[in-house]
This record gives sequence, C-alpha cells and structure tokens, in this order.
Amino acid sequence: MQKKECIAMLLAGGQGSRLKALTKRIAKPAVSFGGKYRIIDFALSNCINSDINTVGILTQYKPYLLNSYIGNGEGWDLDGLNGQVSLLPPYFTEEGGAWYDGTADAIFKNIDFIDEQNPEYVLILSGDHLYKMDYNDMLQYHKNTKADLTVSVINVSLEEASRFGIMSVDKDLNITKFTEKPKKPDSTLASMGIYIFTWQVLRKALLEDSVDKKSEHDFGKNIIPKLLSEGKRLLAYEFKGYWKDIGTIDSYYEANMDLLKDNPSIDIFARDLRVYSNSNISPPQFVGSSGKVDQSLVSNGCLIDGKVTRSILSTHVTVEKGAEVVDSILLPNVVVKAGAKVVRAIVGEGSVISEKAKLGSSSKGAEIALIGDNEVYK
Amino acid sequence: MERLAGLISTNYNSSRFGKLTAHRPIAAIPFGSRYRMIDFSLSNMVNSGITQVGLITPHIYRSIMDHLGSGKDFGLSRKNGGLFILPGSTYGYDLGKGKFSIRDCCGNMQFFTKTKFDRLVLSTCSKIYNIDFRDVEKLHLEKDANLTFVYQKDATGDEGDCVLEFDDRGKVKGIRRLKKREKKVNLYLDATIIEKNTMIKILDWYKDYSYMDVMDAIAENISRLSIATYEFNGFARAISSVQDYMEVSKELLNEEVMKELFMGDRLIHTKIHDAPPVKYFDTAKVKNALVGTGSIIKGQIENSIIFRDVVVEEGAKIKNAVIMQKCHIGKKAIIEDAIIEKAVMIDDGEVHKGTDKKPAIISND
Repeated sequence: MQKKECIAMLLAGGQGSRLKALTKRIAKPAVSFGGKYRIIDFALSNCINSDINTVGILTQYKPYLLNSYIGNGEGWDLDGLNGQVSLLPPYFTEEGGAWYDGTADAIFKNIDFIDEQNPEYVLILSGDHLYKMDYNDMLQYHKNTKADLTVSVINVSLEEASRFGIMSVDKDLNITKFTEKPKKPDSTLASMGIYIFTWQVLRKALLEDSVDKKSEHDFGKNIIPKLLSEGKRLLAYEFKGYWKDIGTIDSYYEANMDLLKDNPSIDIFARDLRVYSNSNISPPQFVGSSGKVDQSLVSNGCLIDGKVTRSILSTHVTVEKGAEVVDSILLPNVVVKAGAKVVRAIVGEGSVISEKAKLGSSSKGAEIALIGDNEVYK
Repeated sequence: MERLAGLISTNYNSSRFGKLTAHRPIAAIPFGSRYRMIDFSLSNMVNSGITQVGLITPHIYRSIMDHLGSGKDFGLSRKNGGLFILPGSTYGYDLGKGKFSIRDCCGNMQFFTKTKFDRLVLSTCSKIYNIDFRDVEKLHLEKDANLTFVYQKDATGDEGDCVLEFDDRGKVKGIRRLKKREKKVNLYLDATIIEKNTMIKILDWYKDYSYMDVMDAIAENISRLSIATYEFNGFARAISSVQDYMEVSKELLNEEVMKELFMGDRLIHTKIHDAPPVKYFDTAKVKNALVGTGSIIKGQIENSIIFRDVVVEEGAKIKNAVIMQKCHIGKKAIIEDAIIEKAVMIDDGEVHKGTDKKPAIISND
C-alpha cells in the first residue's frame, strides 16, 4: 500500500441534542439538509475534493442510518483503489468495553487504525459543519510553517465570539492562547474544529492525555492547551469562506433557507468543489396540473399537486391538491395531505400532515414548528 | 437453483427518429426526464431478480457504454453473473427489418455455452413498460412451454413491431411484422421467455441464415414449438419514431401513468449523476411537468419534460416540449411542440415552434 501523506478522522458520534426531534432517531451528521443532502456530505465532499481518500468516521450515537448512508463511501468516490472509508464505532477490549469519552478519546481509541494507515499528518474534522474547503491549502500551510498543529479559524463578530473556542495569536498567527467560550474575548478568531496534526506529535499527546485522570479528553479543552504549555508550534489558519456550525433548530433552518437566495452562501450548483451525496435512484419530480412551485428547492421523486413557496423539499415528498407549503423544510418521504397548510415548519422524515391540518404560524416571533420523524400531525 | 438470464438486443436503428439518432442508437435516446430508452428493459430484468444480462451493442455504441459502464447502477457489477457486453455486428438492422439478429447471437455463442442459466428473457429497447418477468416465468413453467411471448391486446404498433395472430383456441398461429402504424393489434411487447435449449436449437437451425431476426425464425417454426402467451394489462407503449416519442413523452405527464411507470415498487434504474435538487426562482411558473435534478427554473413550463441540468431563464415559455439535459433556454425564448437536443443553447428571444404531429427538433448539428 502506498504511504499516505494525510488521512482524515471525522467525528460523527455526537447526538446534537439541540436539534431536538431531528436527532431523536439519527445522529446529527445524518440529518437531511438542503433537499437531497445530509449534513455529513459537506465534510466528506471536502475530503475527496482535497484528494484525501482515506477517512475514518467515528460513530457512536444512533449510527444505523449514518452507517447505511455512508456505506463503502462510493457516493463520494471514497472507494478508490488506494482509499477507503472506515466506520469506527467504540469497541470491546481485554479490559472491557467503553464508549468514546470526549473527542480526543475517540481518536486515542483508534490509534491502531491510524498507525496502520501510517500517515504523516492527520486531519481532524466534525461531521456537522457546513462549508466548502480545500484542505490541501491548509495542509500546505501546515507543512510550510513546520507546525505541529494547525487550527483552522474564522473571523467572527465580537458578540458571537463568546459562543466559540477563541484563539489568541501573534502577528505571525502563532497561537498564544486558547479560551473555550470566553466571557470577554480578546480575539475574534474562532476555532472551526478543523485541525491538522503532525501525527507523531498528536500520537504522543493522546497517549499522555489518556492517563491524565483530570482530563476530559477533549481537543479544545485539553489537547490544545497541553501542546501550548509544552511549547509546541501551533498555528492558526484563517479561512475566508462561509462556515456554519449547525447547532440549533434556528441555525439549521437559516442555513437551509439561505440556499433559496439568488446567490446563496454555499453554492450546491457549483462544479468546482462539488457537493456529493449518496443518491438513491428516484424518479424525476412531477409538478401536476394543479401544482405550483416557486422560490424553492425540490428533490427527485417529489409529487407536487399543491402550492409550494420558499420551501425545501427532500426526496419523495408529496404535496397533495389544495395543500400549501410556505417557508418550510420537508425532509424525505413527508406527505402533506389535501388541504393541509404548513407554514414556517420543519417536518421530519416520513411524517404525515393530515388532511386540512394546519401546522406553524407566520406571525412575527412565532417559533419554528417542528415535527419529528415518522409522526402523524392532525 | 434454476436461473433466468436476460439478453437485450440494441443493434438496430431507424431514420424515423430524425436527428435524435444522428449520433446515438435508439437505446441511448434520452427519455422521461432522466432515463434512456435502454433503462426500461434493463430495469425490468434486474427488478425481476435477474442478475445476468447480455447486451448486444449497436454499431455506434459510445453513448450506451458511457451510460451503462460496468452495470453498477443496475446492480449488475457482480462476481457471479452481471452485465455481459456482447459486440453486435457492424451496422445492425434497420428497425423496419428486425431488432434481434441471429448473427449477433451466433457471434456471441460463448454467452450461451459458457455461462450458467436455464432460460432467457429476450428483449429490445423499443418498448416502455414496467413488468415483473417472474410472473411471466411462472406462467411459462405452468404451461411447460418452449417459449412465452409477452403481448398487449388492442395496442398500437408501428413499423418493425411484431403482432401475434391467434387461432380460435387462443393458440399463436402466426407472427406478423408491421410495415406501418396499426391500431388495435395484439402487440408483441418485445419480451420472450425462452428455454436455453430451444434458443440454442434455433440458432443452430438458422446459423446459415444469420441475417434473419430471431422472431422470424420462431415464426417459421410455430407448429414445432410449444408457445405460451402472457397478456400484459398495464401501461405499455411502442416507440418507433419521433412522433411516438413525443406522444409517449406527453403521456408521462398523466399522473396515473407516471405513478405506474416510475413510482411503484419496481423503480426504473439509470446512471446516477448526483445533481443538486431543482431550484425554482420567484419568476418560475410550472404546471404539468417532469423536471430533472440540477435544473434551474426561472421561466414558464407547461406540459413538458425537462431533463437534468437544464437552465430556463426568466420570461422563457416552454409548452408541449421535451428539453434534454444541459440545455440553456435564454430569456423570453419560446419553445412549443419541440424537442431540444442535449446541450443546446437557445439564445434570448429565440422562437422554436413545431406542430402537434410534427415536433421541431433543435440540435447542435
């Protein structure tokens, strides 16, 4: 096997409890997004678009749908001769079984996997961020600066800064301090949770961290401060594009709706840095003679006999005659029955909005209505 | 375990498709917003549990190879069985004369002798329907027949199609090849289940008359063969010309037809492109249309089939038309009763109108 310069380890085990009903059944990276996509598509597409063809995916929380969606990685061309996708769930050892306990612990428990790939560098990613990025540029930067760790950062507003892990840097972008969610931030460079480590440096740090009883085994809280205190070379890499952490229902809704703009922040139609997905075979969408659709994104297999405005319809959604869908996100296999009205709502996979039912409200200040998966709303 | 395999001939063409077949075989004509003609017979086979399919290629086969690849999107990239590409002879048939030549079978005898199967489904790429061949095989075995034809009563056929003639007892007494369009015939749906031994016997009898069509060879031996028939009651259409192509395309806009063909348990498979969802802008007006993914719609569309990755600019009006993949329809352009070939750029304000009977075909040629 050819030696690999850089492999990716993708953290996809989080529950994402702030997405409420959307992650009741499935892990956050597997949540449907932008019509036909799932959130993890963006990180996986970035990998193949950056020629990183070996990706270890760390799963833990309700992984069934995520596992079956990722499959052997062929949806993202990650099934090449010299690459692979490996699903890495927690496992049992001679000492017993244990869940992944923190982001660093998840990587620590897979040192054997990484050693087998024998890479020079390891890229750590989150499966729940929305952005397009060529990791090669960051890798070049990491190599040119001879860094031990490069952290991708994005400039945020001072108000937002207290929600993120904030990097303080000197004029050469050397990281001098890292503060998780500071009350009084002294920098506006937020960590995007994207790290490139020189593998041998990370390997040593993980081994030491694993026996530290006080550690929470977290990259932000423990590994980065540890490397800083040891005087290792930590660089910030400033990313100028669009990046969004889909943390809450509101940010999920906004990120989806952003795609409907004439010039959205993330262009799913662009041919460079394409966004791939694991497309199932579905028939073309059908707009019937009583159907009407505008300002919307509509996926394969949809059947529209009603009215759809400013909405996102995932695969195999049916909107029956006389039904109306406005400012809403309908996940795969949703059925909106005749005469029903859905306004400013997110409807989970496979759910049914019954005949003449009314869901959501357009009045100012009203919360986004949320229906989980496989429910019947009357 | 007994095994049913498939054999599809695509080695025929016709000038009656006009520019649609200028650079591609009938098998590769785009149809139904995201499919190609070949997808229907191939999907019917794999949806019937068939895992070994031989495909006799047409003379110009670049587009069909590009479409099928290793057969992966049809589940036919396999260690055991899978897709067998069988090179057809140069030029192939003109559609009026036949579709399934004995020469193409004899030239690929290894498919019959070196692979394991008990009976075959013979098919072509000229009929649009969605069938489970397991039902046909069940009847075939019950009747202990040498071969079983799939047909539809009171159907319309065209040049090159075969029609079954029955005697008083409902037995097939003859097979007639149509010279022109005929209505209310017992239309053979280009699908036969045939025992492997019977097939090899026929090829052996006729190897010196290899220009003949397999159907004509069967027709000469009706009295010697035990023939069963399976009547198909669902939606089925023959496509033998541009006119048929346009008529059947419009029939897909009937919701019942569309659901039966595309949305049942047996999906039609095709090459996966992984395009983004369709984006409709605030100026979009769409009524009665099938739209392929990756398209950007700002104009008006009525009673039309839009393929993948099409851009329809603001103020454009499309009616009773088929717009193939990667076309760009400029602002205020008007397209009526027309077929716009793949990747054609229609400039702002351009007008293309055909008639109901004779659609305009706009291509880059």
